Amino acid sequence: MNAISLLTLSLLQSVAKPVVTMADQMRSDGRIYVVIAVMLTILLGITFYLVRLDKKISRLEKQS
Amino acid sequence: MHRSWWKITGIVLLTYTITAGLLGPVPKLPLLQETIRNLYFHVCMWFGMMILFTVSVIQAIRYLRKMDRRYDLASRHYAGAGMLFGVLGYSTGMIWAAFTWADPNISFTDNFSTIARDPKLIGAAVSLLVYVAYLVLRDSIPDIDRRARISAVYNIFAYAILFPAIWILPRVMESLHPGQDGNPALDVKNDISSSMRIVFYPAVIGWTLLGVWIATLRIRMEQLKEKQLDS
Repeated sequence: MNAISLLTLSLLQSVAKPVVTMADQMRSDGRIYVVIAVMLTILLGITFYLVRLDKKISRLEKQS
Repeated sequence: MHRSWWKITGIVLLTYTITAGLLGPVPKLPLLQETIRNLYFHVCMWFGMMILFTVSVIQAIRYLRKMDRRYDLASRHYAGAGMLFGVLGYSTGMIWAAFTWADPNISFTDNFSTIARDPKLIGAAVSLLVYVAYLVLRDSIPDIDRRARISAVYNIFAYAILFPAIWILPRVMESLHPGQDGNPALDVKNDISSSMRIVFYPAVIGWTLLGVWIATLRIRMEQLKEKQLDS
C-alpha cells in the first residue's frame, strides 16, 4: 500500500514538474564561452567591415 | 567616422546582447529549452524589419510632400535593409521551427506541410514578397522622377499590407507561432520574463541601429554615385 502511494506521489510530481533539460552541462564545462567567442568574432568582423566602408565613403564625400 | 556615437552604441548593445543573451538566466520551459534565447536574435530581426520599413514609408511620404530626391533614396535603402532583416528573420525562424514545432515521430514532408501552412509564416512570406515586388517595380522604371513617385506610392500600399499580414491575420486564424494571444499582440510584460526583458529591449535597439548603419552607408554611396553622374 505504502509503495503504491509513493509511486502515485512520484508520478504526480513528475506530471506537475516536467524535467526540462537545459545546457547546464555545457555551461559547467565552459563550452558556452566558445560560442560567445565565435559570435563576438563575427560581430567584430562585421563591425570592422562597416567601419572601413564608412571611412572610405567619408573620404569620397570630402573629395567630391 | 561620420557621426559615430550611435554606431558605437549599436555595437556595444550587440556585444551585450550576445554575452548576456547566452549567459543570462532564462525560464526553463519544456520543448523550448535553451532555444528560448533565440528571442534575442530571431525576434529582433522582425522588430528591426518593422522599424526599418516604418522609416522607409515615412521617407516615401516625405518625398511625396516635398518631391526631394534625397527622401526617395532614403526610402529605397531603408526598405532594402528591412528586407535583409526580414529574410534573416524568416530563415532563422525556419531553423527554430525545425527543432521545436516539428514532430520527430512523423516524416519530414508531413512536418513540412503542417508548418508551412501556418498563417504567421504565410503572412510573413506575403509581406516579404510585397516588398520584393517594390524593389523590382522601382528598379524597372528608367525615368528617375516617375520611378521615385510610383515607388513612393507603392511603398505606402506595401506598408499597409505589412501589419495585417504579420499581426492581424495570424491572430484571426490558428497559429503555432507564439505571441498571438491577448492584447496587445506581443504582451512583452507577461510573455517574457523580466530577466529576459533586460536583454531583449537592448537587443532590439542594437540590431535596429546596425540596420540603420547599413542603410545610411548605402544611401551615402548612392548619393556619391549621383554626384559623379551630374558632374
